[in-house]
Amino acid sequence: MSDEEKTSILILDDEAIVLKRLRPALEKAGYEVETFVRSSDASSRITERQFDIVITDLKMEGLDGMQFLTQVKERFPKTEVIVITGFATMDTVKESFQKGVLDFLAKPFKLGEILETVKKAETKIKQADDS
Amino acid sequence: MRILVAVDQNPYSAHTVGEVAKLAANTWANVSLLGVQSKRVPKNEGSDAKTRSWKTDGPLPNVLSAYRDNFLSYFKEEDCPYTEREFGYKMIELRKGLWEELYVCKSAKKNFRALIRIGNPVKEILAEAKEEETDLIVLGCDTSQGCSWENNMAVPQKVANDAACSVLVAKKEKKVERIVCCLDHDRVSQQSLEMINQLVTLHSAKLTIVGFAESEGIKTRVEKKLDNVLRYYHERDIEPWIEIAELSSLDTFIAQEAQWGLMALWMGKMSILEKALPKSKVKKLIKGSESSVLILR
Repeated sequence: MSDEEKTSILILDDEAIVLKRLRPALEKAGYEVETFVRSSDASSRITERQFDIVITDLKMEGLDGMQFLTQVKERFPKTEVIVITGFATMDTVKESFQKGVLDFLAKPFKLGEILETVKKAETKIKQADDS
Repeated sequence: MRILVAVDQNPYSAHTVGEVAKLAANTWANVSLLGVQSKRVPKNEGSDAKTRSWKTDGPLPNVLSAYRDNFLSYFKEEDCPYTEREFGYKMIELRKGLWEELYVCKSAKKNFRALIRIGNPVKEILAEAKEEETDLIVLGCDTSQGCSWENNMAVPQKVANDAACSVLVAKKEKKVERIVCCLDHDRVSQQSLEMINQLVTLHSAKLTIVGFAESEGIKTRVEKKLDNVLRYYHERDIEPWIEIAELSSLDTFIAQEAQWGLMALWMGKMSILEKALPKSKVKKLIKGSESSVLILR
């Protein structure tokens, strides 16, 4: 990722209202954002291109968030994954971190909290690129 | 999620800290533990100026330390998101184009702070919640004293009424087996549904969703709108029980239902319940309810 390129973010959440809230906030903060309501569509998209950051919900119909983030990490280990969920449990937290996610945010959260986490992911990517 | 736990030196606060620890273990929320050193002098301590002075080794800091240890004891060391374990050198960007290798403690995954503010408890709790953009304030209370705090202050009731975010007044007498959630079918916020979801998951509780109709005639319209809420939960493998009550019988309905462990009321701006339940009624409900009360916003 060069300094000139925008950091790319894929967001997957089966609730359109969540995407409607996150997308403009992240775009306003200078990120390139693609959003998906269906995990199958997000799954196809990652076969076409790599994203710097993936934000995914866990509980979804069909391919769930845990399976999706596994695909992402297998295909692009350097992509930083942030989990957002409305049904958090100790097991899902543990499994997420075992699969290499950067952070886990339980809903509800304020936009400031997710922006802070995205910033953290961006810094980590930048440091990995520089080293 | 950001949780603010407001505590005093009484046993119900210790219970509340334990309840929040369970929620935090599931959600990895950022948690602040707040004690407020009141300027008000307790009647039984006289008016000696010494009782007003602030000491870092006084009773409140000590009890806060005990609460902190109790909170952290709910986590296995290797699973705790709040402890900082690694020290080492790390390149830090001081400003654009200038990096320095500094000896740092790698930060914990999530924030856990214990802090004390001095002043009026209600004002300080609300100020802290605002500054930290808190999603949920949690407080316990002494149920034998009508849900009061130290010095008989109605802190939970006032915080519940005046906070901009959701507030949970936790009562230790009741195990949460069912969450009775009174929603405003028209305007309920996504954040409120998410808060309910986390609590249903935490307690493995049954969920009852209650809608209110202003008259018998509009019951069908309310039913139709509650269908959307029902669909939302079905899609998430939760099977709530749906009830519709008349707004005119709100007080009786709430009194009857407030026995299941947790009563949640959606009281966002312009909601039916905000209009129907003036502050005095919310105070009365919190004071009299056997169940914990969650005011959703």
